[in-house]
Amino acid sequence: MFSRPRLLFAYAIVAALVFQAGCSDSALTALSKGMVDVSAANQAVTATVITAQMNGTMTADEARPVLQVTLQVAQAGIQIDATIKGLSALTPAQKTSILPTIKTLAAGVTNTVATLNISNVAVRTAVLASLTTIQTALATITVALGS
Amino acid sequence: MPTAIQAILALINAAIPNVANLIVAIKDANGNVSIGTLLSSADVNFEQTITQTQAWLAAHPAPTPKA
Repeated sequence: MFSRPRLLFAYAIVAALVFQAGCSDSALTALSKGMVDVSAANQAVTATVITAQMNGTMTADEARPVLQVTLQVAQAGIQIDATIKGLSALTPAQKTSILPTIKTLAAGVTNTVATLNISNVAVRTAVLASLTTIQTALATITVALGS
Repeated sequence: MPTAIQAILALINAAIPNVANLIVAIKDANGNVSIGTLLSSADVNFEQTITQTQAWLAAHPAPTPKA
């Protein structure tokens, strides 16, 4: 059906594509996976806090600082996703421009954890668990981007 | 169909790990499965968080300190 040269050419193209794909940027992969972890934990803590406040197990004053930081994380996350969508690798300039945003988010989450004021133990534990997940993911991204 | 897509994803995962890391099967509320990227699923979470927190913060503004 196909001549031998054409088959060899097709195999070469496929091999080249697989090789290229296999060499996709590890920093970009770490950043993408990290953003998924951040987004899931961020949404989890948001849902936990809003539900707890609506149920009366948490006051609005306790909820507000946590929701302010989750909003900050989500807004920055959307921007980072928009920046890296469609890329196959991160340039050093892109790493340099994304890193300060990640560090700012990490500092904000760390500050929220340090000043967390939630009297209900179960809610506090759940919120801390999600915030810790976010911290871990942001730390992993920071390392992947070259700190 | 979902099984077929999952099988394809498993093959891609085995063959090209770095690329497959960015590919996921997304199942919507109606049970439909499609292939998307990790970032698309992250965006859904982020957008949901923004919508919920902005609505909550608008409904519960911080008390203004008394002069």
